[in-house]
Amino acid sequence: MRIDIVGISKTFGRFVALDDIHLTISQGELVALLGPSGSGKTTLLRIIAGLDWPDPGRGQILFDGRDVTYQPVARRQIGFVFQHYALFRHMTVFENVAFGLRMQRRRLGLKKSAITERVNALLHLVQLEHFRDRYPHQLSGGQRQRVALARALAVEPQVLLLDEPFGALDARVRRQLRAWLRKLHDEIGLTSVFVTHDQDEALELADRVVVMNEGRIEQIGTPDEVYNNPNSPFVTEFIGSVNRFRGYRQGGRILFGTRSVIDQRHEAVVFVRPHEFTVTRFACGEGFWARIVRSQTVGSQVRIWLEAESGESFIAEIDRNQWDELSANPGSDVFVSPREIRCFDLKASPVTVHPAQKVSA
Amino acid sequence: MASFECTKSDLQNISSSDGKAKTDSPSGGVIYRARPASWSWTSFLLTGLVVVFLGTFLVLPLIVVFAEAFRQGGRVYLAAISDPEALMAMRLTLLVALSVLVLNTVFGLAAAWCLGKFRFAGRQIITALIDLPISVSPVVVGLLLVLVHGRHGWLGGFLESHGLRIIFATPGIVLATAFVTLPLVARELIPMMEAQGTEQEEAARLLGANGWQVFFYVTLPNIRWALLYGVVLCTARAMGEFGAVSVVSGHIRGLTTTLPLHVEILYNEYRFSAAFAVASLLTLIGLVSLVAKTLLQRIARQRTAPRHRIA
Repeated sequence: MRIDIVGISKTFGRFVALDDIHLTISQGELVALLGPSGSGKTTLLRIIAGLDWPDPGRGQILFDGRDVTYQPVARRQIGFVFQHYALFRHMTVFENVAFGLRMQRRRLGLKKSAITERVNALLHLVQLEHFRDRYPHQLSGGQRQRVALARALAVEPQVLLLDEPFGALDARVRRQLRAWLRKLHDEIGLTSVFVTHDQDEALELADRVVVMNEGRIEQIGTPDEVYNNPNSPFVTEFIGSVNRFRGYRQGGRILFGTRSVIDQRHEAVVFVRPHEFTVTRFACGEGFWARIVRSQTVGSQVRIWLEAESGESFIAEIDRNQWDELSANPGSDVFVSPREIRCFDLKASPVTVHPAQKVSA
Repeated sequence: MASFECTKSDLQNISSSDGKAKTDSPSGGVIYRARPASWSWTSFLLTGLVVVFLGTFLVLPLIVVFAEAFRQGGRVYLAAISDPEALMAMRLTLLVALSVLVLNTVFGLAAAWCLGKFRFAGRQIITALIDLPISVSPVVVGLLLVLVHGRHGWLGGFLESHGLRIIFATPGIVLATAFVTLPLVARELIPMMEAQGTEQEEAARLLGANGWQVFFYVTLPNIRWALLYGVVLCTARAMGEFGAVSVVSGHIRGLTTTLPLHVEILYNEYRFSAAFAVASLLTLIGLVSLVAKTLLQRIARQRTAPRHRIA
């Protein structure tokens, strides 16, 4: 099912939760709503589900072109997985999964045996056949999560919505479930939207990432696009770890990392990711000098904390063998040259910089 | 329990301060126990005080009620409680308790659902109002009912012209009792409903359940033990209500006397054994509901415990 979100706004008292949101989600897509807490992503998900409504007259939700903004929740046929699963505590795993089918038995014209059959099939799908008579409090976090998924899928929804689906799980289970969810999504051919504040999760799982901030959409794009071509300082800083520098525009060049302030009027923000630095003992190409504060080996990488001439602290990450060749210690001065930079002037619009002109010391 | 643990040095400090050094730890080891380091005379005094207090104010009267009831033998006891007037009083008490039970369960559920699951303007005021019957003297409640429904009250003329009788009749007694016990069910449920939030209800609605289905399949099962607890509390209180009922009943023998009123009548007529016999019935009801309450509370706590871990 295709979902169109047309100009949705939502306020809670004076707080603007959503401000004129436009978004189209295609059939079969897996979309991540990514943002810090309070960015409005959960509110948007709840409005798609029908658990909440936009401010009167301010926006529409269309399913396959049909206006469902004020259609009752029960008739939307949506699968929803809550952050804390919201399993029915007094029901067994089987009863939880069967609930939707039992409630809609008459409408769907289902026999009891058909319900049992379908629930068993779903429990097989989520690998919980042996737990059908357990109660939710007898299950682990990952198992509860899968029960919640099976329950949501039982009514054969066209749309699957997930609110921080892996938030309450430990890292290992989280990775397993991510891969499993992606596979499930592709097999069933659902249209899925999930909310997360974890950029790794969004980048790894989603076809498209919608980055949200303060009730607005900052950027929509594939994981590659938002990671490599962020369109604002917010997105740059929110996705992946990044160093932030004060910079100055001079002609077509960007100056940063240096002590001498050339022109206050052309101030800019410069971002460089830690792994995009080349670190050498001698000046070569575009770059600037910095002093090593400390270093730490993380697996095959070495993380170096540095201080630039401008007094700004930043982090670089290089391969371990490069670090060994460098033979530098804390206190040594090294020459760092960024291979890639992202630059925004203070009005936050991107500045195009030619690779050859990008840095100065 | 961490709060009761004491380290070796603590223990020694306490022991030496009352001159009984180390008698509590013969092996010289560290004692981890949930009781005071030593039984000094203050602990004895305080414990003794509590025992004496409980004995005088609770246990002794309880014994006296039953002793007095059986003073003139089992036959008098049986005669007293099988007296036609006593039987009528029992019948009326049960009728009133049952009506109040239905009224307050419905009201309590509705109020708790509304106040516990929704946020709206004036919510605080309504929550406070629900507690009003507890803070107002039952006699005042009785008088208010007489003022409204009595022959010369606001609604008196209307009621009389339609042949309806509330004051000095069963409806008045039900109203008075219902008013006094109004908060009991609601107060048990509101905190529980608040704590449980609305996620499970939302999940049920998303799965296609209508309002009644959500209530009966999801909301009610989650609060059933607290509800039962509130109902027991309400019934026990309803059977024993005296003040408000006394004002509105008119004490018409065999017609508008409930058990507590019947006890009073017997007592005023110096029929002490009969009075205590009927009183012992009321006491018995109280004891049974106390046991039921305790059991229910334990079940409710057990059922609630894993719930919080699920989050």
